[in-house]
Amino acid sequence: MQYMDSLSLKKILLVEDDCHLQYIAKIALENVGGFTVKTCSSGNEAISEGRNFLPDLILLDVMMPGMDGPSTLKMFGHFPETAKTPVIFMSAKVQKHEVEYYRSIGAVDVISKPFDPMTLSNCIREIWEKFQKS
Amino acid sequence: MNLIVFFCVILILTAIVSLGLAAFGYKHRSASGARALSILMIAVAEWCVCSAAEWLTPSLPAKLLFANLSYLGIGTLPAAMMILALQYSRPGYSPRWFTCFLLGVEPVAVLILALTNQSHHLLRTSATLISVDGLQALDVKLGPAFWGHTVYSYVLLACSVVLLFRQIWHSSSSQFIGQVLSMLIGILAPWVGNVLYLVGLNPVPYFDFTPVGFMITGIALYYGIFRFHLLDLVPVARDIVLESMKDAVIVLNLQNRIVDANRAALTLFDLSREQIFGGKASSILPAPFAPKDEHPPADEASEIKWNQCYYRISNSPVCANGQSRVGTLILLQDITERKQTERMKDEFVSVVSHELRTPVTSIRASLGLLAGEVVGVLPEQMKSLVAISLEDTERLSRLLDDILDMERIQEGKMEFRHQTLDLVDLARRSLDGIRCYAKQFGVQFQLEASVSNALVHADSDRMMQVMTNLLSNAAKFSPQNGEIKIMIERKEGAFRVSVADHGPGIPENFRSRIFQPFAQADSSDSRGRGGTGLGLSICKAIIEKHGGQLGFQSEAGAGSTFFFDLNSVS
Repeated sequence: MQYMDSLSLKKILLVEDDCHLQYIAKIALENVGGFTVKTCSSGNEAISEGRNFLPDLILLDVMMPGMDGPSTLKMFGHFPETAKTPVIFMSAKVQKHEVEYYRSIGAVDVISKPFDPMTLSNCIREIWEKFQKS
Repeated sequence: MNLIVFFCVILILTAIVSLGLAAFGYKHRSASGARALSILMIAVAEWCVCSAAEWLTPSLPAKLLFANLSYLGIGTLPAAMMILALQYSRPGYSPRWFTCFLLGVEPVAVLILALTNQSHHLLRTSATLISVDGLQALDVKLGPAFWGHTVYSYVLLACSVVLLFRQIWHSSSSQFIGQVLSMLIGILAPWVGNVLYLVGLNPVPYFDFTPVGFMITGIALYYGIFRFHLLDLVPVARDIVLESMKDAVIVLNLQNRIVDANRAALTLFDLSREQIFGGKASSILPAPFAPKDEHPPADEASEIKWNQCYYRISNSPVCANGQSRVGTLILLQDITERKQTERMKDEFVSVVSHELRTPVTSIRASLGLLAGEVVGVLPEQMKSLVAISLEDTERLSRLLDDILDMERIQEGKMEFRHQTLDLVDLARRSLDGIRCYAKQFGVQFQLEASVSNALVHADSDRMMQVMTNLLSNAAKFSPQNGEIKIMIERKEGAFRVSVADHGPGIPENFRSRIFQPFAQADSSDSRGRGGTGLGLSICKAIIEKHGGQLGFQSEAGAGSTFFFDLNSVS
């Protein structure tokens, strides 16, 4: 019942173009973390689905064909439904300057890829709590 | 036995030996100089037989006939000797028809003059019989044609001697010096006999010792052929080697002026000999090739790119008498093909690694979820199989991470975020991180820091990577319940971190390769110990990027200590 501590985090919009990783992350977040997860495969899809789904948090892949993570993040900012929704990037590029860049453009934090599905939910929850305190 | 008859027997023996050598030369006629040797020896045999016949026949006309016929050999000898010397000193040289014609004109002319001497007396002005030691000898007065032929022959023989002496001068092999000496003796022995005859100093009056001298020639050549492999091994002149080289060679003097360049160098820079020789290297050679300093450092090699090609430039000192430097030899090797192969290999590894990383990540994550029984409880056997799959997938994932790290290092793309870092704190954090992994090996860690804090300027994540690698290596190679000691101490303006284990030690023959990528003392270790063979080379590169040194000490059976030094923050 760990997730009871942060009840306010329930709905996660997962944006990942790799369908395998998307499926694994969805199972990990739903089964391990107990979250309600909506998945999208592109930035455009995320923009339209996000406005209807109204997630508490967006988990956004950085490298995607078409609209990439940073561009999608910028677009979220243009819609009142998602403008204030915290975004966590998922990326294989997690060198310090890269993380600093992601934060500078508005990301709450970055989760490095490959992620451990068993600890992914806890990791998100920690970031969420830190964000709430700040 | 009559002395003249004795010498006649020697002449016959010389003829037999000469014919033997001629046959040997013919058998090896594909070797450089072998045909010339055969002709030379046949000429000697002919001269010897005619000389012996001239002495042993009693009548004047018969003596004159043999004397005249001997000019066939006498005329041919110097020309054959000249060709032999040319072919020996210039391997691969084959006389052209015009050269053969020029060299053949004089012997034919002399033979014709000899056979028609009765009508012009140009070769010998008079010939009478005289009794010597019980035998009739020819007493002749020599004509102008004879002296002309003698001068011509001496010039050719002198040229041959000079060519052979040059070979001795340029040869460093005793084998080749032996060959040349045997040929020189072969020329000089009959020459001395001929000079003695012409100046009237020969010990037996009227007896021409020249053909007898050829007995010595035969012995010398026999020795040269069978002891020094005269016809098997021919010295290759160094300038031919230089000219045949695929690599460009340029020689500079101490003023950096070009004093020599081979054909490959001229082709590379599209210059003629006239354009390149004597010129200042900095003004003639393209900028990347021109020496930067007035005195280019010797024994230095570098790689450059020029005109879409890659070259390796190496400088070597040119020393006179093996001591004082008189110039610099620049060797330019075209390494474009090697570079392309290397780049293709790197690209291949990079693409494969990147492409593998995504599916491996999915597999690993899926297995992680299965093993964590997130999607349902697994039967015991299936659980074991999933655990094995997960463990091996993690190993594959580590290998890919290491390959990608190596790629970043090689391409200079690995970035470092330096900050002030306490090595004692780093060691503690590393130990916290490795304890869970090390549990399977049943080892104990002990941290001994002789300083309270050891501040260095370093990238925290990369240093953690190094520490984790050294600690996991120590754990893997330690005996069960073994102790691993981590020591941090000050060392002359730097801090040294050492990780000591009590494992089997590093085999002597592996120590020089230990930091090479994919190096493992025992290739079966990669399965047994779960390593990739890349960890230490990555660690070394990371430490060196921090301006430090990674080293080790090891004793067979007693364990190993890996250590690195990093400058302390002043």
